[in-house]
Amino acid sequence: MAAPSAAIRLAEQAPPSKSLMADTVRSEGDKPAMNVEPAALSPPAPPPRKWYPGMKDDRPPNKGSKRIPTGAPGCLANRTFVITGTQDSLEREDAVALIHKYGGRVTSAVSGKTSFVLRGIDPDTGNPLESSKVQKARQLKTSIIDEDQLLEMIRVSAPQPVEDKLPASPVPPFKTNLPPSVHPATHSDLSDARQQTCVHSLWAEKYRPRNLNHLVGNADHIKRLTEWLNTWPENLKSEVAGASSKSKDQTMLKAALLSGPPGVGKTSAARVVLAVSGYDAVELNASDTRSQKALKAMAEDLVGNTSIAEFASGQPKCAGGYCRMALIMDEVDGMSSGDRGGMAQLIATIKSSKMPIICICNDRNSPKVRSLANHCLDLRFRRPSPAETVVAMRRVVTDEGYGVEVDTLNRIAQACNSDIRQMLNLLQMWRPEGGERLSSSEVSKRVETAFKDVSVGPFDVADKFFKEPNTPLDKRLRHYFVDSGMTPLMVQDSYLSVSMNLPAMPAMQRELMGLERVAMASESIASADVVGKRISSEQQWALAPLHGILSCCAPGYYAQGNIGRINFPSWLGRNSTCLKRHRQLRECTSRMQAHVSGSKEEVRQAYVPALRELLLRPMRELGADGASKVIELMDAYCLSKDDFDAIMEMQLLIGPGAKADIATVPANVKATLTRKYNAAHQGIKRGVRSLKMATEHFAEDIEEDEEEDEEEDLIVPVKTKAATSSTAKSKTKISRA
Amino acid sequence: MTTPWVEKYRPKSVDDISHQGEVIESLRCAIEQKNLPHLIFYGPPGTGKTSTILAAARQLFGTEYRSRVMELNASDERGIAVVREKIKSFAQVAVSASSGPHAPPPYKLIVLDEADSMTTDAQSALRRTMETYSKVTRFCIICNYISRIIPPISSRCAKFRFKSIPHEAMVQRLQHIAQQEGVSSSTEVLRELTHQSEGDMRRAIQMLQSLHRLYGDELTPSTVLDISGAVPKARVINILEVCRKGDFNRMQSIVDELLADGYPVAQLLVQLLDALTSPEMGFTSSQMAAVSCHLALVDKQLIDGADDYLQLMNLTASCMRELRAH
Amino acid sequence: MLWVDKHRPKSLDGLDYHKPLSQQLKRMVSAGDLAHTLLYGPSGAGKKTRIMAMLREIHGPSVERLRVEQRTFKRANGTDIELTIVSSNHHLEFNPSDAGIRDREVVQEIIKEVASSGPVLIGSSNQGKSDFKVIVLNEVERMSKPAQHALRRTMEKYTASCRLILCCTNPSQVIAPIRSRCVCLRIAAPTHEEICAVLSAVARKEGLNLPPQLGLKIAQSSERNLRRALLTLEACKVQQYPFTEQQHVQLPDWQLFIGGVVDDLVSEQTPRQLLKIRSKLYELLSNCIPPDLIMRTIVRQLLSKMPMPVRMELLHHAAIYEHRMQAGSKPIFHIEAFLARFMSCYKKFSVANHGK
Repeated sequence: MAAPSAAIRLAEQAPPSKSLMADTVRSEGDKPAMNVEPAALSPPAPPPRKWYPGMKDDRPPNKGSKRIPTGAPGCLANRTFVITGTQDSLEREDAVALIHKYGGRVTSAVSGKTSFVLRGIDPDTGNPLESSKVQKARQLKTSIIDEDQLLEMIRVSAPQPVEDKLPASPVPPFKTNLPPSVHPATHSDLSDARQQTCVHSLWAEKYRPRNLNHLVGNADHIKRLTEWLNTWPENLKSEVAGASSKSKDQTMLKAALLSGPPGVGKTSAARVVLAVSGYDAVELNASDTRSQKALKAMAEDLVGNTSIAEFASGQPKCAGGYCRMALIMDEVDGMSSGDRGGMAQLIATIKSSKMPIICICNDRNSPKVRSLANHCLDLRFRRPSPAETVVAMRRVVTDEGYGVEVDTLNRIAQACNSDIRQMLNLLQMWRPEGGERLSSSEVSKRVETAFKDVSVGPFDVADKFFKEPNTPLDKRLRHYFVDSGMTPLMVQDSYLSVSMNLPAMPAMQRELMGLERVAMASESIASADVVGKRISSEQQWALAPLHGILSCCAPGYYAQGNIGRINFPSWLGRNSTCLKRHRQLRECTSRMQAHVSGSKEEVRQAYVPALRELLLRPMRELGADGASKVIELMDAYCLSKDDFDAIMEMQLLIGPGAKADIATVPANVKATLTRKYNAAHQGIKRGVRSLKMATEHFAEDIEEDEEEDEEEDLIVPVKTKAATSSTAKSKTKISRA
Repeated sequence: MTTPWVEKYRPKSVDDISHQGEVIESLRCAIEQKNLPHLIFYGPPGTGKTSTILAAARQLFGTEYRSRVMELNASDERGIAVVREKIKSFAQVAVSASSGPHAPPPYKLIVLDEADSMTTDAQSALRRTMETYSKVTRFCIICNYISRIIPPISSRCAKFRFKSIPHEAMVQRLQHIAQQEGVSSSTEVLRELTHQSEGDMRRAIQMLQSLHRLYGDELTPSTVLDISGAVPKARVINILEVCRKGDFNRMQSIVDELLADGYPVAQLLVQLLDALTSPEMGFTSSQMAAVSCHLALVDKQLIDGADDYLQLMNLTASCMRELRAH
Repeated sequence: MLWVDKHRPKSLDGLDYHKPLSQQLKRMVSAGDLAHTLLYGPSGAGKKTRIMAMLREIHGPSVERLRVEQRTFKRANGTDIELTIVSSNHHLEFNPSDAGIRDREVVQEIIKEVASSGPVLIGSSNQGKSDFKVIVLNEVERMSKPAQHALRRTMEKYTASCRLILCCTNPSQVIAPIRSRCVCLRIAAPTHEEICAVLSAVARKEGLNLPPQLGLKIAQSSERNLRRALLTLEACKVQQYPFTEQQHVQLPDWQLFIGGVVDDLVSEQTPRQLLKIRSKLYELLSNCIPPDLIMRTIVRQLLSKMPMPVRMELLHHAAIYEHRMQAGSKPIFHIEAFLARFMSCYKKFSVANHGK
């Protein structure tokens, strides 16, 4: 990018014209424009990777400081460039991409065909670099240019068709290369032009990174991703050749999983890296159906395809014959109930895939994604530091033609928590009229309003109900709406721990009043629960304010006072235990159903206490010898070992320090029971059990002793089949003894 | 296999329907002129609504009954989708007009039984259909509560209210059935039956058949009480007496026993009201009023699924307070 | 096999109590026919035992050959409903409320299927016997109202090939049209004496000597629930045999635990105490103790410890809060609110009366 003064001069004095452009080129380039390679039109080849590692640390000293001009398409066609050294503002990839964009070629070594050598500076000295390439170029009389010259070449470019195929496209008058600074003469036109472009595109899309250097942050991940992609074809080949199992190297994985918070550039990274590595990407996101069937069809379609672009160019890009397609599965954590079996199929697809698959998700820890992660190169994207984002933002802002101080940008970056997309959105929204500077004070004001509601979580507001019971109701309701699911639970969780503000009165009276208030608060919470059920079961969202008042405001008012730290609501955890136990009980009951007449409540209330005693007593009295007796009883009721554990777990412990009955049985006896049970039920349920055993704490020493259990008679396997029926869904017959 | 007597003794023609005077009169007219309007039959259960329309349809369509009549009730899917598709497609099809004195009239009949369980959405989907195809299709809507039918529909129909069948008429009918089936039963038994069934003919016949199945021919009024699930009268009165005395512990054990014996609490409430308001008990009007309020509240809460024990205990405790205070 | 299931009577003649009812049932099925039947009564009264005995009376011992089957029902939108079905050649038994809000579809589906497939008679010994299949539905009162409405017509429609036996504890929750289509039979819970008789009979069969006092003690602790009494008897035997009259009868854990909650309630009424009780309530709920049972047991135990005026208020509030709990979705909130209310009432009372 040229210095502003030069740019202004150019814009004023030398409106780009074909002839002038041609002159400029000819005067600067020694090689005639005729020296063309036909391949110039094909999509860019991957950049020379071997340069990368060495170059990485040499950041351009003025990175992002210059505006990249827009030139006519194909203005660098037929030119071959060699880049050497660190450029002033462009990173190597930037420069390569720029040259590619306008049809030029980049090679790694200087030869007779080289048109230009782009000479950078020596990062150590800051002087123009004297490398071997520069010397070679001098020998060959290849012209040596620097970054500014390259940019200028692009800037002054007129459509310069090198072949008939590429027609000259008219250059829009203002869009191309006007300088960013304000100029009185062009001021109004400028804003008009900008208006046009702004109206039509969201900046977040407009400035979506197009090359590696546009990507902000997570450089190491991007590097790994690129390396992975580059080794992909070889890996596939070696796998086909049967050498796949040689190492569990990460690069052997056939898919990559990018995870991280929204707006850090996962999708962009995937797209850019694929594009740079020369892949055509097919993208599936939450808006596509991703059920098992759909995915399967999709995968079958894709594997073995070549992309249209490749087909049109008439030459396969990769010699090996495998296709240069890649699949981006966006938002995989959003694969929901509607996408049944989608995740399993995705994993299956990955296993058999002949193309790279990049999966993207926000929540790396969701259970669905966890299973997927085992099959993927796991890249966890972090939020880029505000400083990193600021550089990128500054480029955008200058590009759009208004000024913002770095401090201000820093502020925005912090407020957005480095969510690049959001920063772009904000910058677009706040773009001042007519290209003025975006003042720092204005931004801070706006940041405040924009993030007032967003940056508070339920933990920040729950205590306010108790501490500030006299704020206006609408304000308290706003606290409720911060998280209308969570806040009521927190209020419920903590209203009993409030040290209440009560008027001065005798201690007894105070206590009474306190209790009365607690009663009122909890009654209000109970009523809120009824309203809440209406809301969720009948979608009566209009009741939400009522719910808010009953569940948060009223209890906060009654139980007003001081409160310590707000805890995570225990209801959530308790409820999930409750659901789990109910499920266990249901399974247990359904196994016993052939023999037991009661409902599941009766099983819990009558059978479980009795069974617990009867199951444990033999082991307590006879030790390990009692195990077979226990198993007999379990088999009589078709109970599995899991049911056994569930029955033991379902015990209410009375009094402080009470121990569960199961604790009275020595550990070695329990181990014997597990072993004997497994030995007796081996053939039938190994498949089912092996999974479950992994989590079971009884699983200690099953392997060490394989002794057969003679006490079990032949009828056992038949019976226990029914016990597994819930998982195996098998039909079995039991005769009632 | 025995057919249920309810089906066996279903009236075969409109004239057989007992004690629904005006309804039958106007229906008979309509049948003679072969001009049936849209109909709504409403009234308490067991008063002959379904029987009437089925009999009328048989008389109207005779042999073509099957092709001309569509009967839909709560067990059939009657959501809005069905109204839009199944009912509409049936309603749309025109029927061939045939001439002759005994030819069926040129329209079809759709009977929507138990229509109060249809959703409002489904009902409103129906209203257009009723109008558009009224030339070829007539509707008969049967429900217990006319208030559950949306006004646009009820305004399109001729409304017929079915009254509870008077006890005498029921006794007669039951006697007839008993004779036919060879059940020897005294008038007292039949009276008790009619009393317990509260004017619901179907229930009375059903109970008679159940009695016959369970007890053979040895029917006595007490067996009727047994089968109807009613609480023995002495126990009901005992509750009120204990309330009057204010003996809480006795009360508690009475409630426990009642529940352990499995008496339905809703049934008990009805009987409590009967006993409360009967002159023999000698409660003042204000006492009756106060306790009735509690009864109503408890009944409602029971319908909502509240716990029997707690509700009954609360009821008796309140009764105790009310009956002792005055 | 536990005694309660081992010594379950198999035939109508073998039933221990409600003899007249057994005779009536026998008469009812003597013609090989069966009307739709609704059995109601508290749990542990012997409803299912009677149903099985009735089926045996009709179809002979082959009804005791049971299959347990896990059925999966596909729904139009792709979701599945799983249901455990116990069946023999002549009958089929399941719990419609297991299907949750989809119970209507499941019941329709199964009944239609059974009705259309007809009875399965594979070389069984019941030639000349009736050729209908029986469907036993458990916990009918928990079926949704639409499902119950759907049932009423189905019952009439498929009379030819199948019969329904409905089983429930609270008939008030079963809609009237269904009740009026069934022979309704009330199965009262056995009295303490009847339970004692059964207990000693079982003890005799097991070769044990059961002192009558202990039997009575067990019977009383079981709240007229025979199942519970038998299980308690067996637990007692495991704990201590030979029996003694003074032997301690172990109450089920949940009853004792709720007893602890009640003690807490009576000893101290402060928000802090309520917080402590809350965690106990959570414990109870996550142990699958139904919230209404918790409420009921707390009230029952509190009643005996409270003076008269507090009892009245206690009952009044219990009825209200328990009713509201049915309309809500988080039972703990309601129980807690009830206990808070109780604490306030009780405290007020004790302050007013003792002036402490």
